[in-house]
Order: sequence, then structure tokens, then C-alpha cells
Amino acid sequence: MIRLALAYLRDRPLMSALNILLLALAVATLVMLLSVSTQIGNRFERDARGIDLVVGAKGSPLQLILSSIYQMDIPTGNIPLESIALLRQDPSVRQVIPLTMGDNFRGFRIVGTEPAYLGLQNAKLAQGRMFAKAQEVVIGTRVADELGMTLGQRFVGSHGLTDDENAGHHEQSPFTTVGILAPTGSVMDRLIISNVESAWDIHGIDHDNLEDEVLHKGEHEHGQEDTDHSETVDHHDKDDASVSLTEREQMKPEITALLVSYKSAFGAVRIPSMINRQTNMQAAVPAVETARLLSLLGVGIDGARSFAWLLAATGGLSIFVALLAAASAREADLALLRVMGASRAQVFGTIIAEGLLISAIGAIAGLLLGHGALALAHANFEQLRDFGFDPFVMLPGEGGILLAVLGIGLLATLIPALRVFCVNLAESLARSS
Amino acid sequence: MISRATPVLAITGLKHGYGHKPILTGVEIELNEGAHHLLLGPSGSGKTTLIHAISGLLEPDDGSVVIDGEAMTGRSPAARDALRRSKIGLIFQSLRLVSALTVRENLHLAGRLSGHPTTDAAIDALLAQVGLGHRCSAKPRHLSQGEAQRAAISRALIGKPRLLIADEPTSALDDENADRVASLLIETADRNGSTLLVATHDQRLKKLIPRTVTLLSQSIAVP
Repeated sequence: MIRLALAYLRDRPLMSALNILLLALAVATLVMLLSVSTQIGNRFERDARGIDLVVGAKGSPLQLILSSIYQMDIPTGNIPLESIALLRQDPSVRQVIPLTMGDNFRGFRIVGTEPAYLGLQNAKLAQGRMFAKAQEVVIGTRVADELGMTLGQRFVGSHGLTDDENAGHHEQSPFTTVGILAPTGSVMDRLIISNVESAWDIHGIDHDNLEDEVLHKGEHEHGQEDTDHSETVDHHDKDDASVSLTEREQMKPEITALLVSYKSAFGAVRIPSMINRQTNMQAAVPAVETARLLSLLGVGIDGARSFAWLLAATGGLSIFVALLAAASAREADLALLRVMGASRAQVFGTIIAEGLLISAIGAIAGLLLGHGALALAHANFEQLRDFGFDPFVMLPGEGGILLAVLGIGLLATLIPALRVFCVNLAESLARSS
Repeated sequence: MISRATPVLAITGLKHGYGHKPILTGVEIELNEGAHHLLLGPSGSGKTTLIHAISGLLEPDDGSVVIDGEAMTGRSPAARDALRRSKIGLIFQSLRLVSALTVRENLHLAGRLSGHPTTDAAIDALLAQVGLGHRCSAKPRHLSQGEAQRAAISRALIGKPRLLIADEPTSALDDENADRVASLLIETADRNGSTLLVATHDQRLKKLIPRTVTLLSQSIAVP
């Protein structure tokens, strides 16, 4: 009966193709929406792991979160170095990780931080060692793959967060790659990570006197990982000629943001309001901002999803109309099948099989189309690549979509099939023969 | 004691009507193995109703139909389907082949449904016997009337039926094709050892199949 159903599909190629196309478009849209929304949600959740609060310059809290955690936007500005000590001394704070940003190498952001930052994503070194002094970097796996970088490779960073040929280069302070991270599936895969002093050095900011007393103050009380700067080279040999002594004296070491995790829930109650009310900085809660962003995205996604289900229902309706018309047009065929000895159930099954075949082919074609379109988007949109989006990842929800589309197909075939099942064969033969 | 072979078709006291209008009123027929008979009667005499009752497509109001020793009447619809599959081949005037399948695929399907699955080679040989060796891959809509009827005969015979019933097989054909199809029916039925019953009002067939059963309107059949 499956072969017969296939033969009927082949016998009406245009109608079959249109029905399949309708369902395929619906499934492709649903698969794309599911994949994008799920991967965005997962990625946001994964990248924000272990971060309860982000402290940065006043501005948009969402921008602060996007720039500091997801490396997707421009930072809101810089904050004083003393803010590190302020938070590290707080008894309800477990960990404070400083970030400096503002430079890139061929579009990959260079982030100044501490080794503890890598611990947020359980990043492990695949090759080499951790950075130990200024101008040493550990690079993410995508940076290494896309730029073909290897251990020991030296490179010069550029101003700004995106690749711009006109941007100034820090040729006086080249970086050296000392480690390559194993893949983490997180934002770290596309970062070049160094210590915070590197950022100050390449911008000619004097920090030697401040390091111990400000930068690392409070670390030992809270069991923070100690960063050994004993081997820090004297970067004053490489002063930026374009920066005058007066300017240098005016430029104080700053940081871009702080990633904070609490030791106790009390911190969540007290610290954000303390930062927002009593300092010139802002505190943003990743969970809140991410939820707000996903909610904003969700409106569009929900609208598109409703449209896709409408498309699927239209596909089902089209199958229903086609099979209802076919059941009438094929009355003679179906009567002949019964004459040849096919049971009612077999004839009923032929109609059901035809509807299910259209649905199954449409669903599988839609699945392939959806992932193909995602792959095309991935190849053409840098943002998706930066986001670590995988166009070929199969989600459990896709199985649900396939089953739902098969259900629509089954529902659409039931009435035509039941009409065939209930037909009076003798009367049908009288009309047909 | 003389033993008598079981008739391929035995009809006793068959009655059937639609509403208050009686169509068959006590039909009695017995056809033995290999016999050829014409079932004659004017339009409305109940030829088609009788064929439907013989082949289990309807359950008559009264009487019995026995096919090769097995009762067709008094069975469930599914059991009638099964008996029809295994014992009867049916040919109609215009209901010949499944439209979406090629001639060869039609024969394959008929073979599988009758429990006699067969090979491409055997089907092609059967089609060659009816002069359709070159039309195996054609869809029914591409066949002429005569070709389609010959293909339908092959389709009906693929399950090696004990009883081959043809309902008005030549009515739509010209003399040449009618002769050809009727000769083919007799020839293939003989080759297969099938008993042949041809319901028709086409008097042209009398010269080829002289033995007749006549249905008079609302009257008992007279062998």
C-alpha cells in the first residue's frame, strides 16, 4: 500500500510538490526559529555562568552586560581601578574579576583580565601555558583556527573592538601567544586573553606603583588566585612616542568592568543598590538583563513562530483538500482495489499512507531546508559565527516539530480516508463500471 | 457410486432486491470446472447484482453462493474479501486498471493481493501472451480501449482464479476488438483452467460462447 501511495504521489507531481513545499517551508521556519532562540538562550546562560553581577561605567545596563559577558557591544566606559578593592573587601563577595577591553587583533577582542576569568567557563589549555606577564596572551580555539595562530607567535593589536584597517596599531607593544585554549563552546573561544596590565602598557599608562596596593588588594583574604607579576618586564622602555609625559601623568590605570560573584545571597540584596546609589558606577544583573533581552527577542520569535504554525496548518488544509478531491476522483481506482481483494482497511491505509508520506517528505525536506538556511546564514553573517552558532546542531524540539507535522498530515487524511472506508462498494462499482 | 466433481460456482435460491424492488428472485446456477457461459439479460435484469453477489461484493437477501466448495454467503465482509482474492478474477467494462500504476505494476499489485506474488519476467510473459509485451511500462491512460481490456484480463488472471467473471467486457469495443477480447478471455481461461462467466447483452459473443444463462427481468434464471 505504501508503494501504491507513492505511485499516486508520483502521478500528481505538481500537487504533491506544492503540498510538500508548503509543509517544508513551515518546518524550515520552525526549525530555524527553534535553533536560533534555543542556541541564543543557551549561549546567554552558559556565558553568564558564575557571574552574579557586572559592574561598569554608567550607561545602559544591557550594553554593559552585552559588552562584558558576551563581548557583543561597546563598553559603557571605564571605571576606577579602586573599584576592584572596594568589592573584594566586601565580605559577601566571593570573586571579582576585572576586565579591560578596547583593542582587537583582526576582529578578535583582546581582553585584559586574570586567570580566574578562564575558570568561569572551565577553560583548559590545549597547548602552552597561562599568561604570566604583560603582553603574553592565551588565545581561544576559534582565534587559533581562523587566524592560524600558533604558540610563540607575536602580533600587534589595534585600537577598537572591530577590525578596522584605519585604526592605530600598538606596534610598540607586540603580544606573544603563550597558550591556546581547548574549545569551550563559550565566548572565550573567540577571545585573546591577557592580563590587565597589558592593556595599560600598550596605552602607555603607568601602573607599577598601583599594582600591589590597588589591583590585588583583598585577593588574599578571599582566596583569589594570585597572579605572579614578578617577571613583569619594564614596559617603560617601550613608551608610546605619541603620548607625552604630561598626558601620561594624567592617564590613570582604569578597568572596563568587573565580573562579580557572591559568597552569600545577602550580597545580591545589598551590593547592586550600593553600587548604583553610592558610586559613579552601575551594577547590572546578567539574569535580569538577559531575560529582558530574550523577552524583547521573544516577541519577534513568537510572531514568526505563529506564522510558521499557520503555514503548517495551511499545508495540512491543502493536503486535506487534495486528498478529498483525490478520493472522489479515484473512486473507480479504489473500487477496483476492493474488487482485486484489498480490504477496507488496506484502502483506508492507502489514503492515510499518502497523507503521511506527503507530511513526512515535507517534514524531512523542511528539516534539511531549515538547517541549510541556517548554514547559509552562518556563512554570511559574522555575528552568528561570533556567537558560536552551530547551524547543524539538532535539538530535541525538532523531533516535536516533525511529530506535530505528521499529526497535521494524519488529521488531514482522516476524513478523506474515512469517506473511502465507509463507501458502499456495490454502489461505487455501479457508478464506476 | 458415481462421484461428482465439486462445481466451481453453485447458486441456490438467490434473492436480492433494493428497497421494495426485487431484482433477483430465486436464481439457481451451477457451473463446473472449465465451463464457459454467457450470462445474458437486458439492462436492469440484475446481471451486475448477480455478479456482485457471486463475488461477495454484496450480501444477498436470501439464498447461497458457493465458490469451489466454499460458501461466499453468510460470511463477514473481510472473509468475503479473502475468498474473492483467492478464487475469483473480475473484469469490468470500464473499471480496468489502477490509474496511477503502470500495466506491469497493476499486475504486480493484483498478484500480491491475491496471494500470488510474481516476477517481472512472468508478468511480461503474461502481457506478451495478450499482445501487450510492448506496453508493460505504460500508464492506463495511454492505452487504447482494447489494450486496456486485454491488460485487465491479464490482471484478473494473475491470481490464477478458479472463476473468471467478466461484466460487459466488450460493450465499449468495436467488432474487431470485441472478437479479440472475447477470444482472449476464452483462451486465457482455458490455459488457466478457470471457469468463465461473461455477463453481457452483447449478442456478438454468442458465436464464441454458445452456452448461456438468461436472466429475465425479475424472474428466475434458466440455465
